[in-house]
Amino acid sequence: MSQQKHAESCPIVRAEDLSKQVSSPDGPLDILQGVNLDLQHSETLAVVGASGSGKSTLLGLLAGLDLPSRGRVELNGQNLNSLDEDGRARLRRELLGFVFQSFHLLPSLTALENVMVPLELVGHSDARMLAEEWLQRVGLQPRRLHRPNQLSGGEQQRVAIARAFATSPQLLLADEPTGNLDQQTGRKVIDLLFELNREHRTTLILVTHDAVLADQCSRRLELAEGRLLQASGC
Amino acid sequence: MLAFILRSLWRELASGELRVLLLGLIIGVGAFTSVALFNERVHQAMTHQAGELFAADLLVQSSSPLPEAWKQSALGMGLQLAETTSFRSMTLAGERLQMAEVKAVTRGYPLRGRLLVAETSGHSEQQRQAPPESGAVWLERQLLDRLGLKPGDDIQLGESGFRISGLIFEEPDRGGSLFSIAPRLMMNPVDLPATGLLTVGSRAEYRLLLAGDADALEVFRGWIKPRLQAGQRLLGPRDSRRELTSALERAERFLGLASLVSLLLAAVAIAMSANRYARRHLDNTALLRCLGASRQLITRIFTGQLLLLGLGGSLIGLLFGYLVQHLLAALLAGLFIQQLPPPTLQPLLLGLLIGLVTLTGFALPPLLALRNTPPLRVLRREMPLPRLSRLAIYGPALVVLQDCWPGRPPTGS
Repeated sequence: MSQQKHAESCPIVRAEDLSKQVSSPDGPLDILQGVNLDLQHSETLAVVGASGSGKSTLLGLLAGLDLPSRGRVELNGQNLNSLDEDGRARLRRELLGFVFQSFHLLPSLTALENVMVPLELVGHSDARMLAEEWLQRVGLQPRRLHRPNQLSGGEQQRVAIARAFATSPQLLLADEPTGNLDQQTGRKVIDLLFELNREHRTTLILVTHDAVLADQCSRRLELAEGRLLQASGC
Repeated sequence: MLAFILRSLWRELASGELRVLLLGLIIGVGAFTSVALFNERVHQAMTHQAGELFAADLLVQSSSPLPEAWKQSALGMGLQLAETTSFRSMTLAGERLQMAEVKAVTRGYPLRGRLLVAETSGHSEQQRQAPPESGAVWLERQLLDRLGLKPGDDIQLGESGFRISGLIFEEPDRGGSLFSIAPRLMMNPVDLPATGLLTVGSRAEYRLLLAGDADALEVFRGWIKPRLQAGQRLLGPRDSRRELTSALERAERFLGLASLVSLLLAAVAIAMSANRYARRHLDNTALLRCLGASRQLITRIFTGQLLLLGLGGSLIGLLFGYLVQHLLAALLAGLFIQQLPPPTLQPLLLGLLIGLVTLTGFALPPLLALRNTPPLRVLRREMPLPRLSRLAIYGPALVVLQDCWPGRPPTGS
């Protein structure tokens, strides 16, 4: 019980002085500088900014897909810098869900099998049944045996959302989830994403350059040239 | 995770993604196995028939009469003995002349194999282990026909006349009609001096045939070797029908080389296909890693898929090789050996091993490199690709393939 209280009280995401420097032909380049962030359970955060402002870099660092040049990230109190690549993979498996701009479904697998992948990775005993339920939930049960190339963009993103929620992650990271969709389809996908998010009280970090979409989040963080320009609701 | 591995493999196969890789494996294993099976069957047949083709287990061949002491020593070692004296000479019947390969044999001949002789035309042949009686000879039908003779007639050989008392139907160390110049005339050695054909400088071949248990033969072999003079040789079954053995070895080398080339081409196809497959799976692997798959799990997934593919492809390749070697045997075996023994399991197991080595050696490295795919690639596609040293990858596989090449003479041949 005390552990649960601790988990509830400590932020699910904490970033301190988060910076990333890469080498370029013109010398070292700072693509993210000194970002600090605390995100509590069930909060929704929009990360906005122009292209090249460092949004995806920040997302990659928060997800443990990359390591910072300076600073640190804690997920559920666990310092990512102290973990090796497989340790960070384990943490992602247990804590995170992802929705990407270009869907990132495995092309040779059916919609159902794609949703089963993260469930099988965590060793779920009845991955198929749960995946069927999630496809039902996103309205794609009739198309469960279709492959990604047989689905529309909106349908593929709904499969990706089902896959992201299937393992009941504590933190959902969405990178421009409507970036490859038309406005109407994008609207539907976002409605679905927020609806599921509310139902499951998942913490959400949403990277977008869509101001309307960002307004749906409880907090907003704006980046420009790798620096935190403005934070609201923090 | 096994379900995931099987499902992914099945989907990849169904989509044709792995078709070239699988086809390369089937052709490579098939080519290797067919030649290995065929070679092994021929060698088995050769070994089995060598003793019979030789009429003995071991023999000493000389261009001059063999010392009596050698025969006594062999007898003392518990070996069975027989002697043959062979030379070519003209035979005469009336006005007709015909070259014959004359062979005088002692009692006991042949020590191995069968000598079949029919006493008179029309009678069925009988197995013999002794020479014709003195004053009589046995002939091959060919010689009889060329001289216009029939059994019971007389034939002149050198200064002596002989009665034809039998027809030779089968002779173990004849070497096949392919390699003989003239038909056979077989006689009793006691009649040799009277023919006047063997004098000093005559071109004749004297053989001491030996048979017995392997240990005694080995002792004799050790004893005789230092005593051999110029023009004298010790021959074992491996030396019998040297022309045939050498032709077969050349054929085996050619087939072995052809199969090696097929295997290497298949390996190149497998390597290229695996490289292409690995590159196409960078994004998928990055996604799996992003979703939490450890490097160990990525290794297990691709190794598992490759192992299943290797087993399946190799088994089909073995079946393909088995059928091809039957065709090879039908095309070639009849030229040398009438009946080949059935194939054994060893070349098939070797074929399976070759399939797995080829696949793991040429396809596993690029797939294993996927384990180092950066998960950040899901967000940044420009992330650098995992790299591998080509020599470190393919070197060991090439060494193993070279060692298993079926053109190499099998152990013990």
